[in-house]
Amino acid sequence: MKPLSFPPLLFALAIILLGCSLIAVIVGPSSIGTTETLQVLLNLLSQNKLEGIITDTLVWQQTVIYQVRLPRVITALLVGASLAVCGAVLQGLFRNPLASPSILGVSSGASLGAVIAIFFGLSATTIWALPLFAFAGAGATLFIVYRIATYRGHTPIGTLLLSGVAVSAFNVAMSSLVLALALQNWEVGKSIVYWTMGGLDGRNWYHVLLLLPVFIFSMLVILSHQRDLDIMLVGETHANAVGVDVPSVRLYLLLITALLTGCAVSVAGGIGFIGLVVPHITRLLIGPHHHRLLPLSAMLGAIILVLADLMVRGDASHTIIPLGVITAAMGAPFFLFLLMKQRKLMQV
Amino acid sequence: MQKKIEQSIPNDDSFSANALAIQTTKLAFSYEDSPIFSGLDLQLDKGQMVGLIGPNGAGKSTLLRLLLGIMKPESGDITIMERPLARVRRRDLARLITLVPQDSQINYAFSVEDVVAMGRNPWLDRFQPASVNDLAIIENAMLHTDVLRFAKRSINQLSGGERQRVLIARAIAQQTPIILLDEATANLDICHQLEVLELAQSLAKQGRLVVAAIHDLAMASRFCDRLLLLAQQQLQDDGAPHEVITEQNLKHFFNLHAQVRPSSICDTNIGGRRGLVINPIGAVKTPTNRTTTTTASACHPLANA
Repeated sequence: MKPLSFPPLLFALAIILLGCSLIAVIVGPSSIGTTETLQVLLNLLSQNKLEGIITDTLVWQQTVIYQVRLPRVITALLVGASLAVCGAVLQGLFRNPLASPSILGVSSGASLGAVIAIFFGLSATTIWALPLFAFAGAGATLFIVYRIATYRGHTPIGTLLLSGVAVSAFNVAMSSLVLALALQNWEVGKSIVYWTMGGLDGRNWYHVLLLLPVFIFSMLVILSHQRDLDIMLVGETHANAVGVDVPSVRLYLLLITALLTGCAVSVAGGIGFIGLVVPHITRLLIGPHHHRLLPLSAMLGAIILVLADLMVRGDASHTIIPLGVITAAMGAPFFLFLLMKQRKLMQV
Repeated sequence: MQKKIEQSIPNDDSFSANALAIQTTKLAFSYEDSPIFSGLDLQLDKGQMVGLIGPNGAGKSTLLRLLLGIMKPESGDITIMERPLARVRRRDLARLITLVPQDSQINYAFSVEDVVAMGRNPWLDRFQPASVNDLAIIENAMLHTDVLRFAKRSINQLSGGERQRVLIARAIAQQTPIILLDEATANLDICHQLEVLELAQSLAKQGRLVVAAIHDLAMASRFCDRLLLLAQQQLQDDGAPHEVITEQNLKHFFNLHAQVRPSSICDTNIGGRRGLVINPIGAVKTPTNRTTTTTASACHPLANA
C-alpha cells in the first residue's frame, strides 16, 4: 500500500473529526432537534459578543448540550487521541508493532491505581485522586516491566512483552482482589465494576479540564522527540551512533506515556485496542514518519472513540453497553483482519 | 564528481587537526564476573583503516561499543579526538565518532534518503529542518556510496549489500572523523563484502580513521593498514597485516592450523601491497603447545595447494 500524501489526509481527517463530533453532540436520548442543537452551539460560540441574546431554545436543552453532551464528546476526543498517541510512541520506542498501553501493562497498572483510589474512597474526596493514582500505577508498572526486561543495556522485545504480560496479569489479579473486597459494600463494588468496563457516562468539564492540559503538554514533549523516534525505529545502535541519547529519550517518553495513559484511563476506564490498532492503520496510510504519524494517530483515535461512544449511546433501552466492550469487540476483529490480509504488517 | 565527493569532509577543526583520533589507557571491561579485557592501551591515528580481529567472544564488538560510549568501561580512560569520552555529551560525540552496525533488517518503510538524512541529526537542533547545505551533504554521501540511484526507495526493499551502503552513506553524512564498522560485512556475499570494504578504505584515504571489527582475515589483510589482534582478554598483537596474521598467532589465538602466504595478486589500490592467502587446515584439538605442533601443517595435503 502506497502512503498517502499528508496534507489531504490531515484535511480529510479534520473534516471527519468535526462531523463526527457534531453528530455526537446532536444525537442523544433527550429529544433535542438538530436545528436547536446547532443554535445552542452557535450561541455558545458567539457568547462573548452577543451576551444576553434571547434564544428560543429552552434552558434545559442548553444545559443538556453544554453540561452533558459537549464535555462528553470532548472527553471522548481527548481519551481516544491520548491512547492512540501513547500506542504510537510505545511502538516506536520499542520498535515493535505489538507494543501498546494494554499489552505492556500500563493500562492495567493505571486501572489498579484507580481501583485502589475508588476502594479507599479517595476518588470521592477530590477529582485529582483518581488520575494521580492511575498515573502512579501506570508509571510503576512501566518501570517494573522495563527494568525486568533490560539486561546489559539491551531491552529485548520478547522479554519486554512477556514481562508486560506477566505484570499485567498481576495487576488484573490485584484489581480483582480489591473488587472482591469491595463487594461487601455494593455501591463501591458497583462503581469499580462500571469504571473498569470503561465508559464516558457523566463525564463533565472537570474531566476535560484534567485531560486537556496533560494532553497538550504530552503532545508537545512527544512531538519535540519526533526525530528521535524516527531514528530509534531504525535501530538502537543506529540511534546511539547518530547522537540520540537513547536511555534518556526512553525515560522521558515512558514517563509521558505513563502520565497520558494514566489520565486517559482514570477518566474513561479500561478502553482497549485503540492504542494498538490506530497507530497501525495510520502507519499503513501515511508511513512511519512520526511528525505525520503522531498527529494523524491522535485524530484517528479521537474519531474512533467518539464513534464508539456514539454507538454506546445510540441504544435507547436501559441496558448499558460499556465503551471498552465496543472498542475491543470492533478493534480485535479488525486487527485480525489486517493481520491476515497483510501478514507482513507485523513487520511494518 | 571527484570534487563533489571532497565536499563530504567538513571544514571543521576536528577533521583537519592533527589530533590523535582514539586513545585508550588501561581500559578494562567485564560482564558481571566474566572479564572481557583489561589493561588495554591503544593509540589510533587518522587516515588509517585499522582492523580489529580476534576469535568470537574476544570483545571486538564490546570495544567498539565502549568507544562509542554506549557502555561504560569498568576502569581506564578513553579519549576521542583528545577529548575525554566520559565528559562529551552524546550529541557532540556523534559529531566525532559513529558506527555502522552489522547488517540488520530495517522493517519500517523509511526511504534511503530518510535514513541517510538521519546522519545530520547531531548537527541539527531539535526543531531545525535540514538546510540546503545539509541536503547537499546528504546527496554527496549517497553519490559516494552509489545509492543515489535509489534514494527514494524504501530501505526494507533493499538487499543486504545495498542496505549496508546506505548505512555507510549515513555515516558519511554525519561527517565524523572516526567511523567504526562492527562486522559490517558479516552477512554479505563476497562481492558485496568487497564493495563495502573498498568504500571503507576510500573513507580512510580521505583522512578519517576507520576501525573495522572483521572476521574474514584474508579481507582484513587486504584492506587494513594496521591490525589489532584481541584475544584472551588482551591486545595480543598490533602491526601490519603480515606481522599479525601469522601461522603462530592463528594457532595460539584462533585454535587453527593454517598456512599463510602472500597473495599472488598485487592490488594497486592499496599501494602495491599484497593481501594474504590463508589456507585453513584444521582446528587445534588439544590446548596449544608451542613445541609439538610446529610441523603438523607441513604434511597436510592442503599444504601444497
